[in-house]
Amino acid sequence: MKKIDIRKLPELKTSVGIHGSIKQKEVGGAGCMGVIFMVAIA
Amino acid sequence: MIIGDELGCWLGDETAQLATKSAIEAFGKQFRAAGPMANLAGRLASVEPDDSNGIMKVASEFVERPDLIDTAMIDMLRAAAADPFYRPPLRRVHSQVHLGLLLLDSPKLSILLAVMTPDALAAKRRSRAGSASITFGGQCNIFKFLKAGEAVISFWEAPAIEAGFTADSSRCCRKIGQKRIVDGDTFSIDGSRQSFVVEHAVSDLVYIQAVTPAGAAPVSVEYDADTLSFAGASSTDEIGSRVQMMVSLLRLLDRRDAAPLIRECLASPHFYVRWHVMREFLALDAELALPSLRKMAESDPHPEVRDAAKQTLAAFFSDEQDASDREDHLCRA
Repeated sequence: MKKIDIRKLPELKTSVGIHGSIKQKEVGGAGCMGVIFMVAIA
Repeated sequence: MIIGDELGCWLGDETAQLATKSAIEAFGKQFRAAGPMANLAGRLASVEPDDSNGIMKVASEFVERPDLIDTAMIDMLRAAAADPFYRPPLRRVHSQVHLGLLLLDSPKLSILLAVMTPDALAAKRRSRAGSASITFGGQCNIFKFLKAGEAVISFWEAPAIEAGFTADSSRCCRKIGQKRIVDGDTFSIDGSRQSFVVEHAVSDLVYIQAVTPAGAAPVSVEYDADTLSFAGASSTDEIGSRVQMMVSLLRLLDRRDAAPLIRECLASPHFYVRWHVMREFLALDAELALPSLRKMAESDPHPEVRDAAKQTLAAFFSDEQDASDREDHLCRA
């Protein structure tokens, strides 16, 4: 059985965080007011 | 912990605790069965889950009649005044700047009644390290401001977030206007290309927000508020994110018998989920993953996924044979 070290596999150029993982830097905008159901922070 | 007399009495009085619990449960049942909420649920039931326009039409009619929920709010206030241990039987949603109750929490639509305070806004601005960001949440929203708080809001737009989204460094957002809102103002925000920022507020903003996951863009996008350039993207799909985490867990547990399930997850509509799952599959058992990897390199609809798959084939597979016939156990996970 062949396994590949996951760290050696390429990543996409477009990195996408997990649901709810916005950086939360925004002040008082749609993200702050929005209903965001967090799963986890990436 | 030092507790007050009132709390001490309540904690020692089982009858009082049951009375509080009964009042909360009774209100929850009454609220959901009451005309406005029952009507809303009925209207939503007749709309297809992916019909974002239909869902937002129902939501629009609801938020334009805030008087419909006045009775429920008054009942909750009375109950809270009569019993300090009463809590509304509605889910609380809060951030650093807002606090709200989820009036409706359904797969098609969520409706939030919330308050945002200028003090909290100012505190967040002061505590922020680095520049702020402007978020395009990817979902369709309606905001109805019951109390506008003399707030000044800026409106922003950006290139639409579509299925083939890539983190193109040339992406940027731009400000398209600014206005002081007044009590009763309503506006719709298509989070795939529109956003707003509360620039300033004098007093509390009280608002109803309706948001649907139907028709959502695959990701939410943040732009740097100073440079207006792309800052990052996050998934808008809770299920997809859960799948990512569960597949990672299966790989860490070395559950090779989960290969059929993992292969099914490669059909995710979201490019970032597909590649995440493929990386885990390759790390779990590269030979089992190989047929799907070849297919991905050839025909995945997203160019970055195709490129990553091709790179992987070139780097790790030069003369491998397919091994899909080695799957003989189904995972019950």
